[in-house]
Amino acid sequence: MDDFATRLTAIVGSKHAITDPGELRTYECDGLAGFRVRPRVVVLPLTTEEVSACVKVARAAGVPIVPRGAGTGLSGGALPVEGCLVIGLSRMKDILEIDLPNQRMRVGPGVINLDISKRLAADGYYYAPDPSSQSVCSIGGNVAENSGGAHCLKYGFTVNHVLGITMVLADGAIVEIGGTVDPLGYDLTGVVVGSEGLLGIVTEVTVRLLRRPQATRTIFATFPSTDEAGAAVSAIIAVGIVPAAIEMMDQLAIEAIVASTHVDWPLDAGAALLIDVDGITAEVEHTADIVIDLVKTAGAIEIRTPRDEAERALMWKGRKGAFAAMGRISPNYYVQDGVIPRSAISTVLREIARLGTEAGLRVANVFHAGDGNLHPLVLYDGRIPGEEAKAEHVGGEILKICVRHGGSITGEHGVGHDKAVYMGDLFTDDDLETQHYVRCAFDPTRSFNPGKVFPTPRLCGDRPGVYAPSSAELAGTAGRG
Amino acid sequence: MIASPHRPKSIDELAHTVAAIGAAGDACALVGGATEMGLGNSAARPLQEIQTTAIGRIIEYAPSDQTITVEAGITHAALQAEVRKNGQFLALDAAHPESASIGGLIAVNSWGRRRHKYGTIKDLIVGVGIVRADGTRARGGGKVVKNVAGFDLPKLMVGSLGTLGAIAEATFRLHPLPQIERAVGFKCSDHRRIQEIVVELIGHALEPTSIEVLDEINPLLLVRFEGFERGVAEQVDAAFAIARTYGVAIDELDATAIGLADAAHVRARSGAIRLQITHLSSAYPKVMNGIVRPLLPALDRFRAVALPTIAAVFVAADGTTAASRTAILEARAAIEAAGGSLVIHAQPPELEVEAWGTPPPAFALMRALKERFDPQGTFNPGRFVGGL
Repeated sequence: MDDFATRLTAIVGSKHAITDPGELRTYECDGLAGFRVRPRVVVLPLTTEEVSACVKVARAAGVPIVPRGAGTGLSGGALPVEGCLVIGLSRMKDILEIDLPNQRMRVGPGVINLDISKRLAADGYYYAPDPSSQSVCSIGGNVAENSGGAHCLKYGFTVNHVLGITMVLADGAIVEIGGTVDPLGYDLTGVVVGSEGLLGIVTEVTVRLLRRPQATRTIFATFPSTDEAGAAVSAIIAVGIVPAAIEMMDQLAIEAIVASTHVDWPLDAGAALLIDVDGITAEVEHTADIVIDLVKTAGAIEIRTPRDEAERALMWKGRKGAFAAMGRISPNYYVQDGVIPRSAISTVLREIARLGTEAGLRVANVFHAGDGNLHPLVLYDGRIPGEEAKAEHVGGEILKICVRHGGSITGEHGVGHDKAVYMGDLFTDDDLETQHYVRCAFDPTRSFNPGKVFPTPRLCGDRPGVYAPSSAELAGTAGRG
Repeated sequence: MIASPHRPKSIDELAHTVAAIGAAGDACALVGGATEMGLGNSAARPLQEIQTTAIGRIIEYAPSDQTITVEAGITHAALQAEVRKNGQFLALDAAHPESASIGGLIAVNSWGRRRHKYGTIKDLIVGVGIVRADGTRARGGGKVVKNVAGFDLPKLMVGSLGTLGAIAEATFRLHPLPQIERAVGFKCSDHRRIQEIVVELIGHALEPTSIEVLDEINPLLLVRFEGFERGVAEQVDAAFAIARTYGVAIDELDATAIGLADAAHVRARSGAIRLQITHLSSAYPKVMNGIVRPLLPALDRFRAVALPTIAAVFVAADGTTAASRTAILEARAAIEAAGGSLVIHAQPPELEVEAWGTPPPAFALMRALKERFDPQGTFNPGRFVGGL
């Protein structure tokens, strides 16, 4: 064991400092499993102080740091970089404080998203952001990615539900950010949420808790094609209803979900919508009736409302398991995440279908239709030479379509490693330079998650654009970016 | 301020103006409707005024996507008038809608009673365009409501008092106009009881638009509901039932006739002195009885609006007394000790109370941001928290 690893072991203990090549394999990638890099060392600290001490050791050695939550991310945000220290936060999973009178909870970053709501179920409160991976993803990772989910149409994203954080900075300093009503000064919480591990390591999170709504009604409807389903979405929004969620699945997605979860959805439908309306009981009854009328008018083939909570849960399980279900209909698939204005859904879906046809690949669609957040799944067979590259190409072209329609290259999965190359399609060099100011203010040495988010390496010199290598770079222990 | 302010007619002209001021080593402030000029300390250097009133176009409005992109100088009222045509609104209160500019509202993080339901500008803004201190234009966020690409520059600009860059344009999420609005007033002078009723409203999972406590002498808990008729009716009935349970008098009020007394107005409209106290939600009665009540007699002809679920109180008064300065500083010390803050939104010059209070623990990061974005201190130098 080298001196670097020895010093880290002294901080976290030998059990939680991983240097064995076999054990390191677990940490070579996140949910974007196509990319793998073996880290130099992985540490699994238990406290903020341990995180701080590890950061100081890495900084002294000029070693880049990659923070890691549950490793479920889909953009390679936790993908190691060559020779790096991975700091995994999975052991920091304590619920530190439950403060119901102030509707907030302080948790370690390793706490699993769904466990917060489970813990509060008896009290009638819950934590709103619900990414489909919520039973396995951690709050620290959610903060890094500004995770969304099906219900953010009405309730907003992680950033709207995080009140304060404790964070370890690049020099090992521990800092409290936010945590009060209208904290004085710049909105640091707002900028740290969604910063993809580039600004520091979040070691505590205070989240906002919401009261469970009085009532929720779920409506499942099938359509001849995504055109009619898209028209239904527009009609619902146009009458002034803000549903909690509107999810769309196309025929291929339905087929995969039926194969994997045994929901009895019709296989011949061209598209389906899964809609939640929630709120005050009388209002929900009223808006659910309107939604059903609008869905009918838009051309629904069949409309179902679950008889009980178990049936509702099954419907949502089907939807939330959709990505994994693709394994039933294709050996491999490439998950994409792009955003378009809601009104462009039908047009863009046709363009995506054409791309798939041209490439000879099937593309399934399962997505958050209410806010235009698409998740095309490009199906391919990795055993056939060239198919993976074709799938990636289709994925990239889909992002360009999103940008051309005034949308974004990511709605909830983050830029990470995977999409840094597309940032230039969305932002100008000046835009990116300005965002880079934020990084330089937090981490002038660019120790955290180098190579992620920004497409081209940038330095934090006093004069932008003038190359000034850091001592670590000169010593060859750190790269640029 | 110099005698003849700059009046750029486009964002490009604004960029030229800022670049020229920066190159000359001077400092500047953007001014929209000049409705919240009292916020912040005196500038560290003389400021050239750049009026944004001529940069007020609607750049893009997509009714079916419920988003709008506007130039910063557009007034709150002009924006609302446009989107109202499609049954939509920007869910943000403003005390002076006819003059308050969107850019100014962003810079001061203006908000009012609707915050309970819709949040602040931070929850509504999805994109921003700024002019940097070197005159470069840059954008952050985007034009769609869901987007996690890049760092969140829009949120960084909200409440920055224009000290990081000149806010030139912004994109917002819009909401559908509610079908109806109704309001009820609980007559109750005991803040502990008021808190119990508020807890009860939340506990019943009611979804009011706003919860305000008006008039510190004869407190009235004013609760408004909006939405579709049936849901609103059910909530009004529930509010009456809660009042009966607690033996408190309740009346239905004309929701349109009580507008002028609300939070946005006390925050940003009336009075030579105005301040905002924030606290922990659960500490509401303690703050009202132990901090706000003792403060009020030291002010001349005061008004107060408390927002117990936001955990904030706005106080305004027509004038000061000999006891004002000491009373405000004592209130600030007490509220800061309890984890809150007291920010001055307006004050007569002779009062000389530092506007913001003790800088937060993460202040070093804020200073680092300021140095990166505005290394020469071109924008509003010295006016923001901790002298930023």
